[in-house]
Amino acid sequence: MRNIVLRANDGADHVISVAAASLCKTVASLLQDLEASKGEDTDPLIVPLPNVCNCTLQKVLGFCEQQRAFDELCTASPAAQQADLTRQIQAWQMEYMQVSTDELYHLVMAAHYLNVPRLLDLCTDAMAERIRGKSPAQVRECFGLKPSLSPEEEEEIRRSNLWALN
Amino acid sequence: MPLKRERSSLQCLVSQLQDSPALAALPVEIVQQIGSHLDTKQRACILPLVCKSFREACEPQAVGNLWSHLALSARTLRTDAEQPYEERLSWVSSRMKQAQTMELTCSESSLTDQTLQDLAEAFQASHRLRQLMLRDVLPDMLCLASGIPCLEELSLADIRSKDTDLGQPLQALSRLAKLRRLSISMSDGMFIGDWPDWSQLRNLDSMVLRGSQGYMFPWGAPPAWFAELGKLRSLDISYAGYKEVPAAIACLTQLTCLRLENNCFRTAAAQGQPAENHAGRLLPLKYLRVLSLGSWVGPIPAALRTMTLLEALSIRGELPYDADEEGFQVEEPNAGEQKAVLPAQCNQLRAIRTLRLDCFSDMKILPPQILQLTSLQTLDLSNTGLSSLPEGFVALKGLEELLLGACRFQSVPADQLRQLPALRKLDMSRNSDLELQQLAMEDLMWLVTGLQSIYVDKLQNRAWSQGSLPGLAFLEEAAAAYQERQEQRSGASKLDNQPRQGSAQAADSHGSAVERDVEVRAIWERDAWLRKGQRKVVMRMNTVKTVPVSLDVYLSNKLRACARKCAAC
Repeated sequence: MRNIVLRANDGADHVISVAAASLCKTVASLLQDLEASKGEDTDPLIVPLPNVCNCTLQKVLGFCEQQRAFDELCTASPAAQQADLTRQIQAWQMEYMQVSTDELYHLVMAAHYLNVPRLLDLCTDAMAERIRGKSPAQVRECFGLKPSLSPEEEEEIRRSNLWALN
Repeated sequence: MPLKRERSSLQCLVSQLQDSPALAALPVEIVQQIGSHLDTKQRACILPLVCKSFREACEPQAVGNLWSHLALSARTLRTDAEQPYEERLSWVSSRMKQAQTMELTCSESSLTDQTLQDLAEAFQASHRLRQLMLRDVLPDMLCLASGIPCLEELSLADIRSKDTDLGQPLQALSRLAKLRRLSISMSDGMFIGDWPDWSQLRNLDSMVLRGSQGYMFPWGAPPAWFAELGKLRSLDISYAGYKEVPAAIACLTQLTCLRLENNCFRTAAAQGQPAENHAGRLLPLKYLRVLSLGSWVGPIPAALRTMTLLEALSIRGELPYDADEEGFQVEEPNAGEQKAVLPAQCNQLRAIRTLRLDCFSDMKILPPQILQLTSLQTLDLSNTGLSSLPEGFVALKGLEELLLGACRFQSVPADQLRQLPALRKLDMSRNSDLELQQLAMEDLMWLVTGLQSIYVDKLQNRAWSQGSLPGLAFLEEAAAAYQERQEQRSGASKLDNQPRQGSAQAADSHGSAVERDVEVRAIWERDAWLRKGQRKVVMRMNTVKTVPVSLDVYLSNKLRACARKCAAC
């Protein structure tokens, strides 16, 4: 299996299989362009990713590799074991999402930039989980946001959505 | 909006300790995607109040998938609320235009004619809508669904209107030519007498029609247009009161899943020509993977022999009617004769994994063909007259679930069951004559530790065996055996001692509570559950009325000791 090198914004290199890296659609399309221009080449391809920091990239690639492994398991195992496997994947994803809000933010931005739909979905779900059942002030507190709406604007939003509250 | 930031991993770590104003700069589409995981109310009332960028993302003009899923109650549009009706209507319809999936609960008679008309117009304009679920519907609300141009999936849950023929109102759905999945459930004695003409719904892939439970008279026979539903793969017509397999079903040769549950089919006891018998209508369905028939009185159709692809077969015998009502008595089945419950050719079902033959009270001996179905994983023989398992039963090596509830077993056939390596669920509850006293200790151990779930009445009685406490010793043994296995598996014991301590504390705090049996039960269940490491042991406790006080104290002491041991290692 071929490998490629993904370079984070601080120059740190990560070697990853093409199969796993192609879960990042941005990387996949970059690869296509590069391969088309270079043709057959034995040197590992280096893809610079100036928008992703080292530790986030590591986390993203961990996801890609694990998902790839799960995908292979899914196709290989009989239908009877699928439910078990799904549980296993969910447990892994739960574990994977045990991150701080700030890490989560970097992760969601990286998933957005690298275009990894499954990771993006997982991250946004995790963010939604942190918002669920909270008041606006609590959401702001949780994400470390400053209130940016004037009281008049808040009142306007409240008024137009008032009926939805009861 | 790509984020321009150059940071080393150290800076990255440092930033985690600080506030993150960058969250306010999340791209609109991400905020929308986050919001789409929340429920409608929170999306409307909380999200826009968080900050400016969140508010922008929540504007109805913002293109995106924030409102792709919409769940509303018709109460939203009631006319007596403070907010002007027009404002609420425009709020709803602007969101509906973006929705792909929508749930609408039409509770009570909250919709006036005007509202209904406005809503129908809004539905007609929602071009992205693919899935619609209407709950608590009255028949005249079906016009809401009929105008949606691209609808692919429609579910009408709980159509209510007392004792009404739904055929005519359902005609409104005939315009939904793109519909792929249709599911309708009725209550309040509704039925389909005159079938609507749905010959246009040629894209239908799955159709579920569930009648109301109390309704006894047969529906109208499915009309000839059934033959035109060439893409139909799954059909479910339950609670329809049919006494014969509908003739139209014979045309649906491509079906892979057929459910005709809770009808009352009868075949003549004397075997006629299969083609003349209505059961012969199942013969052309060669591709069936799932077949569910019930209740079926009389010989089971020989047509089964052609369905070699069957994976799940479920046939119910005659249900004892109103079993819960007073004065009901189970009729003793005629002694002597055992009807051939399964046709002889059934050993051809090579792919079958689930076989359910419940409520055949005259089945006293397991039909020998079943022993040849070695691919079986689930076997349900509840409510039958079985009192023992035949000798060759261990041939079913792949069996994972065995349901023998409400049969006539007098003892647990443990020596046979223990030879089934894959067995993980056993139900022998409601066997009123079942005795556990003769059960050997090792068999008892196997019952508790070897299976994932067991349902056996009185089991804990036997395990406790009041007074003498050998039951507890047995539990200890079981736990020790389990722990040993656990340690072998993981190298070092990594048992989570947190919940174990919790249960010990709970035991402490009980003191001399009056409902001691309940308390002990709770602890015992939790503890057994813990010991089995996330594997749930379910035991019916209804026969336990009192547990000796000393047992409680003894148990809590044991638990404490256990917790100490855990804390130490």
